Amino acid sequence: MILLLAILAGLIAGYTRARLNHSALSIPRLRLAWLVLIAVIPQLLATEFSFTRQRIPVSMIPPILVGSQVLLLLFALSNLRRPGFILLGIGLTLNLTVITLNGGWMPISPDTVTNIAPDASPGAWEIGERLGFSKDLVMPVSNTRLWALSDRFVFPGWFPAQVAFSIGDVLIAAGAFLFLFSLGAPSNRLNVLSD
Amino acid sequence: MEINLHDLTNMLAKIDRRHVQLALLIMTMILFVLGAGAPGALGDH
Repeated sequence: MILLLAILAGLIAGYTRARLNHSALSIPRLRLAWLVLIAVIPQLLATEFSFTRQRIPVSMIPPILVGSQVLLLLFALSNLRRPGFILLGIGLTLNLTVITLNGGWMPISPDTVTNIAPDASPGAWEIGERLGFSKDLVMPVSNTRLWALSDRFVFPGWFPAQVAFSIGDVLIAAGAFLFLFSLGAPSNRLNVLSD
Repeated sequence: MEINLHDLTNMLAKIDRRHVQLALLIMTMILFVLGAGAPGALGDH
C-alpha cells in the first residue's frame, strides 16, 4: 500500500514535471525487466492471492522470499545507472539482509503488531508465527538479528493504512519515486533512445 | 482538408506503442516494489 502510494506520487510528480517542461514522459528501457515478473510471481502467489496463499506451505515461504529478492536485486544492479535505482538497490539489500539473517522472514516485534492491530482478536497472531499472510514473522526483539532493519516503523494512528515498515521499505519507496520523477526530466531524449 | 491516412496511422501507432511501453514500465516498477518491499500487516487472516 505505502509502496504503491510512492509509485502513484512519483508518476504524478514525473508527469507534472514533464508538463512544466513542455515535454513527454521519457520511457527508458530497463534491463532484465522480464526478470521482475519471474521473481515476483511466486511471492504474489504466496502472499497476495487468497486461493494460492492458503495452499502454499509456510515452510516454502522463506525460500520463495529469499530467491525472489535475489532475482530482484539482480534486476536493480543491472539498472543502477538509472535515477533512483541506487536507493532501490540499497533498500532491497537491507530487506534481503534482515530477512536472510532471520530464517527467511521479515521480523516484526509483538509491540509493533499491537500498534498496527490493537483490536485484533485473540489468536489472530502469535509470537513465532507468520503475521497473517504477510512476509513477516512475529519475533521478540531479543531474538531478532539486525532488529534495526526489521519492520519496526508505523504510521501515526490517524493514517488510514496501519502497516509496519522497515528502513529498506522507505528507501525502496524513495527510489521508486525518484525514478518515476526522473521520467519528466527535460533532456530525456538520450534516456529514451539509450538502452 | 487533406488527411494523410498513412501519417495518421503511424501517429496513432506511435502513441499506442508509447502507452503500452509506459504501462509496462509502470507495471515493472509496481511488481518490483511489491516484491522488494516487506511491509507487515495483519490483514485478512
